[in-house]
Amino acid sequence: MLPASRRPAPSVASGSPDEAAATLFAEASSQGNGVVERSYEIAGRTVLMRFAGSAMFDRISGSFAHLESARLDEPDLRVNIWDTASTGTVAPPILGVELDGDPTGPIYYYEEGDVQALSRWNTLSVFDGHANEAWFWAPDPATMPSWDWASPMRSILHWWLGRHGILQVHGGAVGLPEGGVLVVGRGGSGKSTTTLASLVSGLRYAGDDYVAIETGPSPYVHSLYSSGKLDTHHLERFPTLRGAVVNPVRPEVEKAVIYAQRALVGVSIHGFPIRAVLVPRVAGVPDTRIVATTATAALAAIAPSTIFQLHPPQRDALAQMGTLVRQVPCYSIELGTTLEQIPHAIAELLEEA
Amino acid sequence: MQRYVTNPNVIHETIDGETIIIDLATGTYHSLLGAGPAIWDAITAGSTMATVVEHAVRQFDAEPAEVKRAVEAFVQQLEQAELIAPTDAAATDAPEASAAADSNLPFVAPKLETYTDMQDIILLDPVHKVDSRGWPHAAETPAG
Repeated sequence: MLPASRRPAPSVASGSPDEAAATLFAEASSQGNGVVERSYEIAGRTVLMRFAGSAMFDRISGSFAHLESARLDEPDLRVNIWDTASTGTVAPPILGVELDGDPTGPIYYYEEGDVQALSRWNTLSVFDGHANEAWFWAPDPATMPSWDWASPMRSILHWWLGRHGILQVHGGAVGLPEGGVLVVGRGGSGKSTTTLASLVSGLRYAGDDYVAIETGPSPYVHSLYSSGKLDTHHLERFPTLRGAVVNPVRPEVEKAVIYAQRALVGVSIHGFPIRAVLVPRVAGVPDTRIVATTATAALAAIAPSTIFQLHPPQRDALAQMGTLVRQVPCYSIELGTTLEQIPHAIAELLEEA
Repeated sequence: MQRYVTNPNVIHETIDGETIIIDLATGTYHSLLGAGPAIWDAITAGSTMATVVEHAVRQFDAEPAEVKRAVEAFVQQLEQAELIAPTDAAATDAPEASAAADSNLPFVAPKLETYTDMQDIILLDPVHKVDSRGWPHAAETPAG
């Protein structure tokens, strides 16, 4: 986080966050660094990201690289992205002061009409649902925490996808184009172990921590990020991924990040039908096995962390996740220490599904 | 006749005879087991305590006095957990609750399990609403 003393003074003292963001992005875009534009297909829709200069593009675009699209049609969402350090523009207003004793800083939320905004980790996300336009700002790409640049713009995607009945969930997903599994559970439950162990197995990768789901008659999971995160000590169990770590030098508290698409070209996937929900548990024995669990156990594994990690919590999110766990079978995957067994167990489950 | 309303910060979902309840304000989540979901359904339908008890007595195969004691104790637990609160509003028993049929289901005592591990996330992520002056003015009292 940028210390308050190094933070540029805000130039906008009042007004709405979308107006402030639009003004500042226009200034940032005119600083001579040009605008980098990329189209991405996210949840079957076109998202145009416009970066003021290359600094933020270099910082966050790796997570979306697998979703890059050549589509030139009118975007369903336009996101304007800039930073202060590389453009020299002033910072947008950051609300209030940090709370004592909160190392990650406070969160401020704004909602008025169709406009939502959130300031977190010293970045700013703004979404105008009427205009289908959003803004994302960071003070300095170099100081963004890895959990933010590896899974960037989660609030914007949460708000936008929510308007289309699509729910961003705290979970990973691996499978095949014809169907796969949603892997759910709190941090430390084994989601990343399950999904990243599958990278070299022939299964395709849709995400390890945040994906988006549709719970209609045919439940479907959409990939949001190509990134995967591992604790440093955990990385030792994945020797094939060590060379793919994109932040080999990192603060002790941060995880190693890999981009699945870079680690293994073609492994990432836009999404697939959900055939089952898996709740991982670290078993501590050599063998992995998959056993049936209750829909309620799966709901308890996915719902609280999904609902509380995004703001504002969606009141209908619990019902959507309840619909999902009623629609597909739910299993507990007891993760063994022989990692190769994990994807094989999932593949066998998918063959039977 | 005593009646209860559910906490407006609460969302709930019942699957396979178990109810998951999440309190969006505190980060606490709960699980209702045994006869708990049936009692919860009757309460959230707006029934009076007398109807909740009557409903449970007709639904479960057990001594009425035993069911009554269990229901009353469970409702007290729900109230202490701030999932429901008594209301003075006029009772309007939902027809579906009043018309509960005899089911003779085996009676398993209602159980409330409470989990607070998500409160860490809430406490780490205090959200501050902006006040009536709008962006970028923070309200003086942080809101959860």
